[in-house]
Amino acid sequence: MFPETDSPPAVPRTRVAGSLEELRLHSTVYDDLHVEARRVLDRNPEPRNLRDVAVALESMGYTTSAARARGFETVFDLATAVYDLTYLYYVPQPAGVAEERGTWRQFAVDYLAGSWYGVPWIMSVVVLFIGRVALWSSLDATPQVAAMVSLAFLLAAVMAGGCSQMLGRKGTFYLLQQNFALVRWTVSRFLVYSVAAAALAIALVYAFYIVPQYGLHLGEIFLEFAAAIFIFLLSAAPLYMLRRFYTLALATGLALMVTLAAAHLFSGSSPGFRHAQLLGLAVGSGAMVVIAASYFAMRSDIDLGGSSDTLAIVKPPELRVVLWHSAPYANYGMAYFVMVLVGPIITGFAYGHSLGVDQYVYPSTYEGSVDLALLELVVLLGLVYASIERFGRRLRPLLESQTLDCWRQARTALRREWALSVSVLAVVSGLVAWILPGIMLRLLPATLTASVRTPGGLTALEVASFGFAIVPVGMLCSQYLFFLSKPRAPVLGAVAGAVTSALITAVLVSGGDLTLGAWGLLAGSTVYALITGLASYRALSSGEESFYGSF
Amino acid sequence: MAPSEPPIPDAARPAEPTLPPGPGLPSGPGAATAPPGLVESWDPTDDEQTSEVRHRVQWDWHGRQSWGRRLVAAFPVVAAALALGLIVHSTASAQGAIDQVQSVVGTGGATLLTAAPRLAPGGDSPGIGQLTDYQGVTFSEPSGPSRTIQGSTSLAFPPYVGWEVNGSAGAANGVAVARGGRLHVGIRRATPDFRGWFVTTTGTTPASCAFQFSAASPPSVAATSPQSIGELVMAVQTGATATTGDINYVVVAENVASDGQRNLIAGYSLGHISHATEHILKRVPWAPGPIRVAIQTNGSNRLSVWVNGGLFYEADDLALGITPPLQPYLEVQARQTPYSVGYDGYSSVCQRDVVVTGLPDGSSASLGGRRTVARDGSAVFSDATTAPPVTGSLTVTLPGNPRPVRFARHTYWPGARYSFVPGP
Repeated sequence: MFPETDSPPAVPRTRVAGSLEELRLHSTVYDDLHVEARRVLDRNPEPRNLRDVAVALESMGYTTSAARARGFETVFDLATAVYDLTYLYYVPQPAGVAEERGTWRQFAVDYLAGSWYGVPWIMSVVVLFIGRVALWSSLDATPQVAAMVSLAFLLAAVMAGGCSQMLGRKGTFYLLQQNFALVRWTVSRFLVYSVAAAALAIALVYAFYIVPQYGLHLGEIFLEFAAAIFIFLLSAAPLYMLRRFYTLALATGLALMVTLAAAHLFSGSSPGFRHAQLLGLAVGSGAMVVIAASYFAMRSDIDLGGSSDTLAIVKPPELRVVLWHSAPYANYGMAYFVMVLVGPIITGFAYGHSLGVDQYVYPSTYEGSVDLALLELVVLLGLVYASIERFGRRLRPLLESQTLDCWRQARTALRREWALSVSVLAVVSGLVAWILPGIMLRLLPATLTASVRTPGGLTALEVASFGFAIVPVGMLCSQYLFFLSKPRAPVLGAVAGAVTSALITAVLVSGGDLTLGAWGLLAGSTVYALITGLASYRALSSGEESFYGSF
Repeated sequence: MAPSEPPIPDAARPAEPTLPPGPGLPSGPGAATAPPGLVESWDPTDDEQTSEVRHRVQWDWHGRQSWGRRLVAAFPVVAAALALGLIVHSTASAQGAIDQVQSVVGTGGATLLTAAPRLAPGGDSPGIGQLTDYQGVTFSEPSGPSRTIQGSTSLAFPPYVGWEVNGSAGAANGVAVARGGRLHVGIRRATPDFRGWFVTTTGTTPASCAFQFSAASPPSVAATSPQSIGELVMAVQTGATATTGDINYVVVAENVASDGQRNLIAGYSLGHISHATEHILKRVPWAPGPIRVAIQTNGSNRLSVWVNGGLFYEADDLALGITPPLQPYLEVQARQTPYSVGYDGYSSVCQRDVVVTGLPDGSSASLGGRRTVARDGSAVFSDATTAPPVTGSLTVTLPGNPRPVRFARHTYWPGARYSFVPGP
């Protein structure tokens, strides 16, 4: 249905159609314009001005040459003709009655919605301390098994992180167009390619590092947990994409129950490796529950209506082009997890060195302090979500009220929005990092905080608290940039943060004091927040250009 | 590992739900210049329907398969096949478990970690041993069949890295095997004269360290000939034999005669290439029972021998001629009888204390009837390098917790370093 740019012009190039009356003389062009008017309305049901129509036409693939193929000098000339026809097909949209909510109530709703993202994680932590086993952890694991699970978790999280981000980007893109055929097309392909890539990565690490360094038995534990954790993390990705938070919570709860039951059933009298292997099976069983939930959610949300009478012909995009365009988001997801997890891994290598072996040994006391600090993200994640929701609500009215010739006011408003959100988040994060460790040490049972009371443990906790507190700032700034389809700076920020975290941690723990490793996390997250912060400020400073440039 | 996963950074999710219907979603980088096929999704003839209506879908697949498309399409199958191949190959070619970090399990999930001597993957034992390969060796890992070492008359002792086997009995008559937590060294068949078989280290130990041997009681001699004799031999020899030809060593041996009489001997030997001259420094009648021997010598004039924790022999006016660094020999000698002895462990002890690190300040630790309070995160059990290892349960009492952590029974060699890992 698109104009072929190399097709002969419908009217002589030397003559530009001046009016609809004149166009009616050329029936082919006239009919096509009706079609284009309906297509424009399909994309934008309520075009407010010529600019909206031009944007829609450009998004449909029109360039100057394509417009000339229709007999118009420019896309704007074509838009003028199409705009005149849109009223014929305009269907008044049902007036969405905006629910009146107070600012604070709206904030509370957004905050709670954002906090749902952390539900599986929070439930896992709680169940871990109650049942001693959760979706990817066991408090009964020996240090050797813990080392394997730890390395498996890093690899699985990095691989699943990349896929989740790609899925979140492209899947949501089609989902919000209600283009369910392409949602399914995207999800199924991303899942297949991610599983293949992860299988290859896990096999490479298993063959060239784990087995030579740790032997076959521990290697089997690694293999099993890497696969189980990856499957579990990835299984929840479609639910995140569909924003099915209640289903996610329900499935996670059920998965935890299955894991607990399976672990209890399998490993009652099986210590050591056998216990760990069976636990891996239990984790895998739990993942199956979430996979089933994701599958049924996908079926119900993107049902293609097999019994419908209407037929849609879908030409899928080129997979390699979609993969290429999604690659920055995958890189961001992978680099993010490396940034957060690389510090403890390097600390584990330093711990092994101090024990006389040049291999990774699970640094349980260091991990105990850092993991406690990680809990503050429970409080802060909702705030990131609330901020970006608020931004989304404010951006459109702001741009609607500001015409392009009033860009100064729009830019000032966007800069103010950025400064307000980022500074509020930074201040709250700082307060949480300052206060929460003390509260946790006071409230949590002494057995859970034993590692903090080892020499240097408290310092590690405090430093890691501030390290994790800066991460949400970087996340929010990355959100702004992703909103405007500018993934380069977040990728750069996450990669630079990961490299900084790794290098600083390596240098600091090389002297043998493992508790200094937390400074690496602080340095890495600071670099991440700085890069994404500066880039997002710059992007929002020319917000209207960025916004329209993102289409 | 962290019991908690950082939430998936929702940053990649554009804040699209808050966008009212309009120009649509930010479509990602490059979308504005993407070819028309990328943005075309629905046939415009459907535009009279609202977008909520479900459509039956007919796919309009791309036409001719280019090489690029074929490569992309083949990736999942190729990657999965490659992954499977790597896993199967690695699994098939690897043998045994390698726990280079040993752990002692305690109550409440607590653990003590310590470095373990290296074990070679795949059952091989290549390379020159390091000092850490000779500290706290318990022979808990079963050994594989001895293999020849290229360019050497010695046999490798897989999977123990840095250990080798040799002796005058010859490979056909000598046997060395680790099984059931004990190193068995033996002579299979009776020989008319004394023949020996030993396990020694390829690397060396400085003369400043003590050489500690732990062995089970040597068995009785099965042969009835009055000339039959079996010997448990613990020796420390110059590490320069390969270059100088000197076979100078000090030795502590328990010999068992066919009539059941036992003697414990301390002495030294001097020789070049072969036929060393033995000098007995002390000989006493001995009773059967497990034996722990510590030998310390500077190789020139000083020799100290401790047996079962007591000083057995000491002198500083000897002419030993043993050029440091040194090598331990875990050996058996026998005449006119097959004979086998069992070693429980060996350690090159170079530090005097047992140290447990990673303890909260104010903790106390008890081991072998001794109690110490942790300072700067470490509990130190002071001892001598020649003190026998303590086999027992370590108990750690953490501040604020009246229930002490009790660790499994374990042998703590002097100089060992442990890292305390608290339970959850």
